[in-house]
Amino acid sequence: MTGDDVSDANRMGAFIKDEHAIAKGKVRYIGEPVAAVAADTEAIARKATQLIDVQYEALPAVLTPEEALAPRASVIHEDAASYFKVFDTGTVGNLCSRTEFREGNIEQGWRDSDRIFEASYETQPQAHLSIEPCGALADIDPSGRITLWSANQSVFRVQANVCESLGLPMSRLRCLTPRVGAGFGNKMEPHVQPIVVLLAMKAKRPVKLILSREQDFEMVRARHPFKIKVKTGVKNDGTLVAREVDVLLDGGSFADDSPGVLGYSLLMSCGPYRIPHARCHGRLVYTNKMRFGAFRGFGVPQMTFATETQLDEIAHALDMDPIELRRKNLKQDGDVWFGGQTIHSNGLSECLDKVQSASGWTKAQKREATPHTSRALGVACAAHISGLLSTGAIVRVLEDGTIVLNTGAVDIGQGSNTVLTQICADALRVPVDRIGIASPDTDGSPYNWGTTASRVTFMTGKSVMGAAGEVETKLKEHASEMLECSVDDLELLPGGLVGLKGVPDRAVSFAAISARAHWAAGGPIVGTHSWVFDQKTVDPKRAIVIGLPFPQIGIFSFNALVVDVEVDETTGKCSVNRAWSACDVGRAINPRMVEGQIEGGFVQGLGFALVEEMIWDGARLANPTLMDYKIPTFQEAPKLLQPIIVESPDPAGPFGAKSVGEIGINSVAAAITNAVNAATGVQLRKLPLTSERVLGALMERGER
Amino acid sequence: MYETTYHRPNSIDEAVALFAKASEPRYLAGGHTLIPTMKQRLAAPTDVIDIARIPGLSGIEVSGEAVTIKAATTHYDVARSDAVRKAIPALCMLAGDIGDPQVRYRGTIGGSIANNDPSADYPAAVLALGATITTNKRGIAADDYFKGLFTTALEDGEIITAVVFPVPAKAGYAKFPNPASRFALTGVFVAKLKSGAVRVAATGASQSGVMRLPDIERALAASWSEATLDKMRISADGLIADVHGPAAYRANLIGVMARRAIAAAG
Repeated sequence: MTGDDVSDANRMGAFIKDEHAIAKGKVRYIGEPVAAVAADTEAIARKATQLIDVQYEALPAVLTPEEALAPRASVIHEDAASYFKVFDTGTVGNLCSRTEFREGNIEQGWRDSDRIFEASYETQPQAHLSIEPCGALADIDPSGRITLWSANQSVFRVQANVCESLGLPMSRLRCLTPRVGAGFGNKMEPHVQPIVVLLAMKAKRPVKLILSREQDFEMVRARHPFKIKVKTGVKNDGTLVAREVDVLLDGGSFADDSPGVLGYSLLMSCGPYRIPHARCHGRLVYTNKMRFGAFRGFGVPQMTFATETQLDEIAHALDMDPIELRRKNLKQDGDVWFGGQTIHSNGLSECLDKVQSASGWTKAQKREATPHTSRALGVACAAHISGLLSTGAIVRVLEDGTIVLNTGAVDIGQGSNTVLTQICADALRVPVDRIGIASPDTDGSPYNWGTTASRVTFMTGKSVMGAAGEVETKLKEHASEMLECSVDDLELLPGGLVGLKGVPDRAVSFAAISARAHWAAGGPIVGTHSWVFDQKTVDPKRAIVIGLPFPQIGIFSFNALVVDVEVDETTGKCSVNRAWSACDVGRAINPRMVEGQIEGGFVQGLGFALVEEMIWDGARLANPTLMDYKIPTFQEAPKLLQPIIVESPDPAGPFGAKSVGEIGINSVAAAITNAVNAATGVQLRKLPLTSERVLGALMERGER
Repeated sequence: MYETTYHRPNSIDEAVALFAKASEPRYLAGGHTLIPTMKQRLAAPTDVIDIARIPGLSGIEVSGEAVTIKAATTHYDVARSDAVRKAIPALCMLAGDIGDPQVRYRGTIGGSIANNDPSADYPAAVLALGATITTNKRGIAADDYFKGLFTTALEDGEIITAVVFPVPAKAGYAKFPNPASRFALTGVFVAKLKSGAVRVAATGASQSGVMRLPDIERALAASWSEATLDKMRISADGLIADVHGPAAYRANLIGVMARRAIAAAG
């Protein structure tokens, strides 16, 4: 299979349809698939790939956004103007898209400020490193219908992407998701599924392809490197007045989720604070690197690194306690977010209280250390959304009165199958072991946009409640006829019973009701629910937004984080001794799993802050192996990592639940950098804080 | 990985004979370098000759004057050896900090020395202690053995059978591990021999592999203390600069690790 097997018109992409199933006509990055071979055995397939002779005409590579935007730069997508786009992108040359948010009057903001702080920040590409590399298996039946199993975060996005890129009707492709070994964003959009499906169609036999770790590094996707300029105006008493942010984003060869990452990072660029005047704009640029895309935090860890470290600089310049500066400017319940969406629940103040008290925080952040080390506490805050797009649920009562729940939501290891089962069990007052949960299947599951944007508990949980509510109604209709009473006099009793209120021995079981429904009257009981998140992100009376990729994004969760960091002044090595992370998750449906998400988010953020970095040597990724790409292990994890659950229920969520999947990673790099600054006095504006980078800064400090 | 033929000989003679017959043979011990290299298709030997299980090729012997570690002895076995701990505690500490438990259960001293990875730990101990590498043909002094990156005095087909370490008066090792692989980003082994001679070797730092540090040796010979090194500037000339750190960073680490090694040696 090569690019000749795909039609030029068939392109896929979440925001901009700019990507073929396989390189066609032009190879845009080292690692992009140019040909695929299926064979009877792996050995034959490998031998065959060695016989492929690709004739390349070398074109100049553009490897940074600056190079790509330079006049006369080689254009990566010559036909970009003709691509289908889901929003007003403003695409020109290698500029893939641009977005701007404006609120208040920025010039007035500068005039109203006593002090203005301005600096540039840079973050690095980070690999997702799911323990399971990407892979897919496709089979084709005699009628030509295809079944595709793959590692993914959305069985429906797989179906859409394969069908778009291969020009297939969606009814011809059934997609399934077996157990997935984590996602973190890189399995939300396609990887090898279109290639595997096309090979199976050509071979008329099952085809399987599993990427090696190196291939997974080189060709799936990674966290965006950001270049961010932040300018903040403040009153002498610490009141924030104005904020301007300028982002330059390397999107790699294809747009993928990048326009969303850019727009979302800008939406979060004022943080959870009241800032009356703001102007935030950004440019997303095509380069000859692998695509950058969704990764836990979706641009917020990068933005938070810039804005929250600048807040500490401001606090120190004004001789204020960094926590007090933040507290003074916090948004409150009923305030609106940047853009104009109302916040209905905000537990950030309580999060700050909790971490302040647990960590023994004092304005003097330094802590006792050893002769060669410095040590201090650092703080940072962040927010995240949960919500976005559409979802559904089907709840069916089986013949014996037990329940099967089908949502199409992929559990990528975070535990949504457990949480959705708990919600269903609670709604129907049955033990969790009477509920089975179906595996995602595009033939049988209701649509679910995906396990992404911290949305499954909030979005799908609400659909589960809705579908279970419909089942309750139908159960009561049957029971009212069986017990000869009014529906209004009935209630669900624990253990799968519908009973007459106040009359303990007048009850019928779900089993009896379902038998009646199946064999005598009414038909099998099925409850369904579906919805789309529809609260507007932007209030046009309040804000002006250009190039908005998502008109309706979710509700807000919050985090406050304090870390205790030790810096070895002889080697520059930074380590986190202790960390306290308080997250307002609305309502913790499963507190132990919420803690697990907070802990996991912290450790992944620790890697982003201190060691993880994908490095390119020219156009080639130089460290696509675990021998060279560093991730934290238990050795680097803090000895004390204390997750703290704060519950500020949101009226829109199931039982008030919001989100937890991403919120725990957003503040980590900022809090660690703030602690390093408090410990040593050096201000680092580039991630990661590798030992050599920190030592270099310490040596410069020594020479000053 | 490309196809290869696997052999498990029962004696050194058999191994040498197999090696002589094959077109592109490689010896396999713990496999922690060869196997990943083959998986990455950077090496494609026609024949892999597994010498790790040859009878008599593993084990530790300690006399008053020397510690002899046979070639196929694993890092784990060295790390937990009470006899080695009594004679050269720094060697136990070094072996116990190589890679991770999986590496230490499989990796061998012979494999480490034969491969001469510029970031491996053992070469620093071998060179600083002035050990002798014994092969199926001869004994080679450490100073004559290491010939630069992945290069040694071993001849084609020659097999290391043991490493003989003289028991020193004092020795210590400290390394700054690469956070990904846990190889030494820089490791320094300091030794004061019973003769009074001071030998110091660094691994992970130099473009030419493990090296002695004559300036530090002279300073420590004059005064065996951390403070002696406080003012010493280490040149970055000839040091490794790569994705894991610039040369100047490794130069700094040489000084820091040397001081820590002295502290560990007591």
